[in-house]
Amino acid sequence: MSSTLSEATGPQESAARSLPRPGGKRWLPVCRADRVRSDRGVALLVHDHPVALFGLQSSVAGGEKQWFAVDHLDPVSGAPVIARGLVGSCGDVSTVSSPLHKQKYCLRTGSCIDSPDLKLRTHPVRIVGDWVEIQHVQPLETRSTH
Amino acid sequence: MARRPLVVIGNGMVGQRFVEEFVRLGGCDAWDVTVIGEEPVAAYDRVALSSVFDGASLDDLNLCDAVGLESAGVEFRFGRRVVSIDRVAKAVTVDDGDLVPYEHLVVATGSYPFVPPVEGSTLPGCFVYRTLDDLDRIRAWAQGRKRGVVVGGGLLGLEAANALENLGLETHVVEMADRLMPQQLDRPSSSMLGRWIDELGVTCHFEFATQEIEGSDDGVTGLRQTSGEVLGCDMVVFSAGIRPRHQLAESAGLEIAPRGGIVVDDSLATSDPAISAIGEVACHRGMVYGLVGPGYRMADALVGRLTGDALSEFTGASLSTKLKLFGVEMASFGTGSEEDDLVVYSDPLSKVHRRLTLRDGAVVGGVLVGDVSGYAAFDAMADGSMKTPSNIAQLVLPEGLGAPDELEIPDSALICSCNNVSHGDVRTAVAAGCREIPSLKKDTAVGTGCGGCLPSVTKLLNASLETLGVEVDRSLCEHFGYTRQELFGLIHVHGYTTWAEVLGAHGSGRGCEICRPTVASILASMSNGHVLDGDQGSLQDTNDHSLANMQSNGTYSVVPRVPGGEITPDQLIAMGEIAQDFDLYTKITGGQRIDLLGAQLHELPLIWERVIAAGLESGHAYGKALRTVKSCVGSTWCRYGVQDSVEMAIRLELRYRGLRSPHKLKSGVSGCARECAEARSKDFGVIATDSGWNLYLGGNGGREPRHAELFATDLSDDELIVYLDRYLMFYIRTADRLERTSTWIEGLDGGIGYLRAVIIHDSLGICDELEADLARHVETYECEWTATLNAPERLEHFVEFVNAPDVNSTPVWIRERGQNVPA
Repeated sequence: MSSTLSEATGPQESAARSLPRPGGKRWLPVCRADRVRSDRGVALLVHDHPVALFGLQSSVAGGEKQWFAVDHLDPVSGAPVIARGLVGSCGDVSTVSSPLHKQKYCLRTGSCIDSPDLKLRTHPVRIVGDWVEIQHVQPLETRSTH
Repeated sequence: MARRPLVVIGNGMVGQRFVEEFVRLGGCDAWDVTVIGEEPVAAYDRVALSSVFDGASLDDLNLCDAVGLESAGVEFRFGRRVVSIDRVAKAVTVDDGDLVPYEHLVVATGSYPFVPPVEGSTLPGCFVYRTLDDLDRIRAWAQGRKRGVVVGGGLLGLEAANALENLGLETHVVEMADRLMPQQLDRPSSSMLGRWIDELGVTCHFEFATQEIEGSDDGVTGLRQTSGEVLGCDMVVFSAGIRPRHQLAESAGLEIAPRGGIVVDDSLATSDPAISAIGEVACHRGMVYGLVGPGYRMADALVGRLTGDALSEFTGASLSTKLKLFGVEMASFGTGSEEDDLVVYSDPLSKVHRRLTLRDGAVVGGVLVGDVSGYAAFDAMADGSMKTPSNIAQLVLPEGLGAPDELEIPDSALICSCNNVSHGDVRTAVAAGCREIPSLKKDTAVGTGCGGCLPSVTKLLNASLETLGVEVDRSLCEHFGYTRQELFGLIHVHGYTTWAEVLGAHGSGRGCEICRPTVASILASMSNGHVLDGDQGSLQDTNDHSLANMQSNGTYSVVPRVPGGEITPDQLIAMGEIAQDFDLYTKITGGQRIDLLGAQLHELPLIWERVIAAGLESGHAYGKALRTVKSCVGSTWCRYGVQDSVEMAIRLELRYRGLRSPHKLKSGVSGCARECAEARSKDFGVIATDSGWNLYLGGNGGREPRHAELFATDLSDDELIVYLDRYLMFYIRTADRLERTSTWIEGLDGGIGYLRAVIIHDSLGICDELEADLARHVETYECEWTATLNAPERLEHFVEFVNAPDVNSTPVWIRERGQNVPA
């Protein structure tokens, strides 16, 4: 997938000021937490890489959402669609189903419940203040964003 | 060794059964079989004859695989009548002059309908009710006629009355006795049956002795009673009994019973050992059976004897019957006399009457009207194969009030009398792996005759599965322990409007790709606002999710609504320009509209803005919802059209657009019988007649194509809409997830007949509610895309990457026939 990065929203300045080592793990703020509706994925770019982000409804009224991030590209077809899939649970496991052919993936581990040879890469997520941050590996070539 | 000639006279249901079984058991190894049948068509299901008025075709009713049997060595001569039997020369003479020799002759000539010897019985407009030809003539005469009278209130008479009702006539039944079905029912049960029939608009006249049929060469005008009173009408159907067609045998000198029928012994042999007789023409131990079950038993017994089993015999058959007529279930079984004790349950409000006849504490017979639960058990008690329990008085109570769901019915008791299948046969089949009705039908032939036993078979199947420890779980999924119908009821009754409420009150876990879209659909059918609003947005399946159909490469299609398939040149141009501007692939769909493919998520609002500006709106191609109502050009343009099909199609499409349902809904309106809109392959199809619209229900294409069945004829515009409102809402309320209308109707106990009762006669008393629900849909309808474009919070969904709104995937395209397609 080719694209050009233009100005992205969010506090990128703090990320750039830390002068990361190439190959190190960084947290990238991606969007406001309230931009993400419960149980409905959004797609975002983590340095050119399409990622699907989910904030799952808490089982307790008013409780904290549970956050997951996995690759947005469907492992079977390569189409950028995982964020558009239905979330759910299978036993105790929280899941997302690929909208194309409904393969079910565990959101925590990325493994496919229907087909052991399919897997989605997972990405750690954390909430800082009002923002969702996703951990990523700093790419070897960084383009300056400010 | 040369084969010996065997001739069968008659290719009715019993004659056909004989030939089939004979071939199956190898009879053609030693015999050369010739079948001579008077009707021009091969054997068909005469018991189901009335279904012709529900749209059944000759193919549907056909029982005879003539090609298959011919290849096994059977010769068929259809449309030929045997005129005499020469017992000395051992040959029969056919009406074409042919002489056919036999070494054994089987007479299966059946019955003829009895017509009372009154003056005027042959006037135009008088009919009998026996053959397909009779029904064709009845249907033709009924066109444009007002009132039909059936002479004879027995079983067949009531069937004929049902047929006339369905043809749209004001229907009357006249009966000489003081009640309906005088052979099977006593006065109280007959009177209860009468209450059901009253409700359906049929008027019954008792102790009516027809003296003369009045009329002229132009047609019948009425029936005059011996009292002098005249019942006016323009059609008469005689259904006053059947008489055995034993004339051939009589002329040949065979013994005939005093009240008719060829006398046969337990081996089905007549007074001439080279000739046997089976079916309605035979009289066995003084009985002539007018039911197909005993006829089949006779055929089987004769096949046994002729294929080498000398002990094969017929010793009589049960007269037990269970049937459904006009939506009412009835059963009668066993015997009874005046000295016997009676246990009776009778409720005129729910119109249920159940009577058991006891002798020395054992059930010997009975009659059930309106609720036939326990029939199989009672029948088994009456024929002695099951002991009568001591709480028998409690068992006469109807289902739910006392009759236990499953009495332990012995294996030997029959469950299907048409095909002689016992409870044991079904239990064995289930134990051997049959898990649903279709495989049981295949393995045991149960329910493949009249089909009346199927509800009992279902109960037996479930009970057997339970006994085997196989769970019968009809829950939607692991998160909801309910069927879709039950869940619909819960949501409807409690008035839930959010997923959180539904999941919280009745579900578990986080739901899944089964229950989330199911709840989404139910909420949408109850007019719950925009499908992307609130927590409904997290319930939407692949296409509804983005109000667009996702394609194999993750791009989407755009399908505006083109009601009735009618589009203006300006709209066509606008669609063309939109496709060019966005570089979209275009195609015309089977639903008579235009598909634009290759749009990306972020382009959808921009494209729809243009579409809406061109005067079009969402086509809901992305929803399990009403898709299109196709049309032919109709009376506006076509020289054959009799009604304005385009106008009606548009009207229907604009009324039901956006209605979400268990499966997609497709429709068509044709302007005449040539049916260019293919309405008969639709969930609801409308075909114009001179006086209105014929409505067909339950058709579909897809993997299992079905033809829609005729539901009602000559409807006015308003009637059509009322029935459709009710039909669609009833389907939405009660169907299973992803169940098409065809399967849903088939699964209703009583099929399309039951549907008529619910929709036309409001037998469940819910029509007001159904109409109100549909009215709410119409009142609150708003084009989903227009509503999306008007709300920034809805437009948020149409950004590909939320942290990079100006960046988008670039799908790879190749050119094919001048357009972009996925690489």
